[in-house]
Amino acid sequence: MTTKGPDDTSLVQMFETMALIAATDDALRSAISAGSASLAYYSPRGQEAVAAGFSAALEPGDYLVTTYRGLHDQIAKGVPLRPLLAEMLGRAAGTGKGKGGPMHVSWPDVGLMLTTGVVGSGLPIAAGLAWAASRQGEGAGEAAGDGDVRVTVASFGDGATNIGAFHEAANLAAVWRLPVIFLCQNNGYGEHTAFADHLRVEHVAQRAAAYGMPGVTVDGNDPVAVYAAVVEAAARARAGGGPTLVEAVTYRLFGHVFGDRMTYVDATELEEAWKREPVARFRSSLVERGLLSDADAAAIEENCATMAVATLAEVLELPEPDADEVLRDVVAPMAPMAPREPVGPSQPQQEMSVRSAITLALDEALSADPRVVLLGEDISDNGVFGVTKGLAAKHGADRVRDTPISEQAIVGAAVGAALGGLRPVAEIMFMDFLGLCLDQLANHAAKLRYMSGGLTTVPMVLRTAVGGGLQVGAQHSQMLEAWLAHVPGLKVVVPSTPSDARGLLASCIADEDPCVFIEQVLLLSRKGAVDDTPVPLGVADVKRPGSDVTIVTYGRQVHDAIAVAESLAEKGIEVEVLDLRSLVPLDEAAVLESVSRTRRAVVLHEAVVTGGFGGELAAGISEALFGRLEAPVLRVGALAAPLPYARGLERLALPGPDRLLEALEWVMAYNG
Amino acid sequence: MLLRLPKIGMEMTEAVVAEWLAEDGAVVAKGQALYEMETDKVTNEIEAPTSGRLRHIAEPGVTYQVGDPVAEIVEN
Repeated sequence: MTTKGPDDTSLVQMFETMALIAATDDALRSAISAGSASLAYYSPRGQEAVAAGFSAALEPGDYLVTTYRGLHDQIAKGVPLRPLLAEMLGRAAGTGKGKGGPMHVSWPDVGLMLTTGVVGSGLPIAAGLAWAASRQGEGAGEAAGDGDVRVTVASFGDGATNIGAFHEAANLAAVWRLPVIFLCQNNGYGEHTAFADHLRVEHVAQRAAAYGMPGVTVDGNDPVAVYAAVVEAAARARAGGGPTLVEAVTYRLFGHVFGDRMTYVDATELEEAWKREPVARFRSSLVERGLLSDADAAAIEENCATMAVATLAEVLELPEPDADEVLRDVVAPMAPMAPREPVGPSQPQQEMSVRSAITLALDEALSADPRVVLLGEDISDNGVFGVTKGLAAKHGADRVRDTPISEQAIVGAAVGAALGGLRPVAEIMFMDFLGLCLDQLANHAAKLRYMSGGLTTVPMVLRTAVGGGLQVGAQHSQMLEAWLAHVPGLKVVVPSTPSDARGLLASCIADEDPCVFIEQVLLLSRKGAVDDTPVPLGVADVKRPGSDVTIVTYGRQVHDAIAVAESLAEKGIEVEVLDLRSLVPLDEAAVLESVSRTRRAVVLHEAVVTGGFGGELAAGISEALFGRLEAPVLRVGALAAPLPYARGLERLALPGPDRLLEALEWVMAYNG
Repeated sequence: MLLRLPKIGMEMTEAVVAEWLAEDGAVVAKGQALYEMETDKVTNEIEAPTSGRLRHIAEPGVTYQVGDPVAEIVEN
């Protein structure tokens, strides 16, 4: 395949891009040296040609995901200098209103969907963006031109090729033949560690072979070489040929972060690298070819310097964000609370299991909204618990999509797909596997709305199962909702009945923010009446009214609570059972209303008591109602041990009716 | 241009201006090393952000806070 080279105008534009990057870098480093700007600055100086080359090869609507050493990529993709520098300096006029900072720039207008501060984490997200682009056939027409599929470029360094996210994303993109270009800017160092000390292969591009995709190594200090490689990779991607790994070999001239003295770099090596400095080299080549005179080139560089210095000076005078920004953009503004009284079923109630109710909610969402897609391990073949049974046959294996066993890629692809306009519902088989994908969930899904000042959002659902009580051992059993509730930006939902499961899952899929939907396996076969009453997030439900003590709980423990409440009713004690249904958002009003009436509370959950969500509930009740309480708020949950396998030990570790009864009796008997 | 003590690294709050690398009154070029500053963690050379005549403000061996005036460069 021969690639048409860039025309003369494009060559001069590439030089202008490189000159603007170098000038902006210079202005920033000068301002830091002079003490007028203060930020952790990761200079891309020396890597200008990569950015100018790849961006010239793309259409304006193509997506870019980059990394914290991203100033060159951001400028080349077309992010305007003023909001870019304002973000780097924490000003309200920044891309993310100053709330993201230099490592977290997004500007969807030009396709910059993410800048991540976590090495390698952008790659699975790029795969998800590419999936969204390929599904929507968009980027087409108005954006990518010629009706072509939008291409996603993931830009990262050589250091990122040693992290799991790289391998999971590369494999997923290859298996799914996604329109992605993995662009490795090999600048010779992963932080302070030289290439030869962190990789055993000669070239990063060799790693492409492991995933069955083409890999190519080019001179990253030559924008034309980068351009040619990216044009070819983009053509392959748009034609359905899948991803390409492009390695652009370049050099990082100012070390890892501003102030890095590069004592780990050989002086001769650095001197040689400066001789290959790409801006001067490209200028000479354009002058030699007669495309620019020396005076033209000097004028371009001077204009860029003037613009960079003036913009930075202007930005330094701009105000920081207002105080009320601190809690804005964590999640979308809450819709008005739905009425607490159900509106009543408009369809006859059906008796079904929690499992069938979840399947029904997924089926309805897939039918109602073409943006809804499912991804996870084995989900086209029923899923491990039969929850996705029949959905692939009905809606297509491209919408109910099996993945490799790659949790980080699953959740990262869901994040990217959501950024790209889909409504993904990802499945992580067991909640204990959250550790494999927590970076994608907690650092990306949860934070992107906030860090971009609301420019990008992640409307995704993560469904996950918990096997507590099934004798499946400590790695398939643990309720970890407290980990998630602790991360601002995530919503956490635990249904207890078929009707709630259906309604809550529908609300999660419709929600504008990331929701984790927790399915306790022991509940899946539990049957109940299901209607189509909406169940909004953040609305607790009194499952049993009572006047003497409130059990605040959620999930399958709701049923234990009701059973114990019935047994106490025979003794004349009326227990109220309040089912939270969602932990985030939390229906604080319902909790406080109930406990202020009963004046006694026991908090019950399946999770370990220590550090559990029950502590949050108990503290909240005590803070608000200290004077009204007749007794301390007690917590009941699992004992602080990995959940044991043996039947008797597992029963002992989990919070059964006995410990709940004991707690209720203690609270009722409490007398100062 | 007034030069203030820069913040280098996430946790830096103060530093000792250890040594002047360019004389008071000297004409310095942009990018030239001006002074050495020491924190508990590291020693850094600070470069001239612009060209011009250098005027020392900070005393060697004295600890300064981030943002304190260190020098001035009078541009031509």
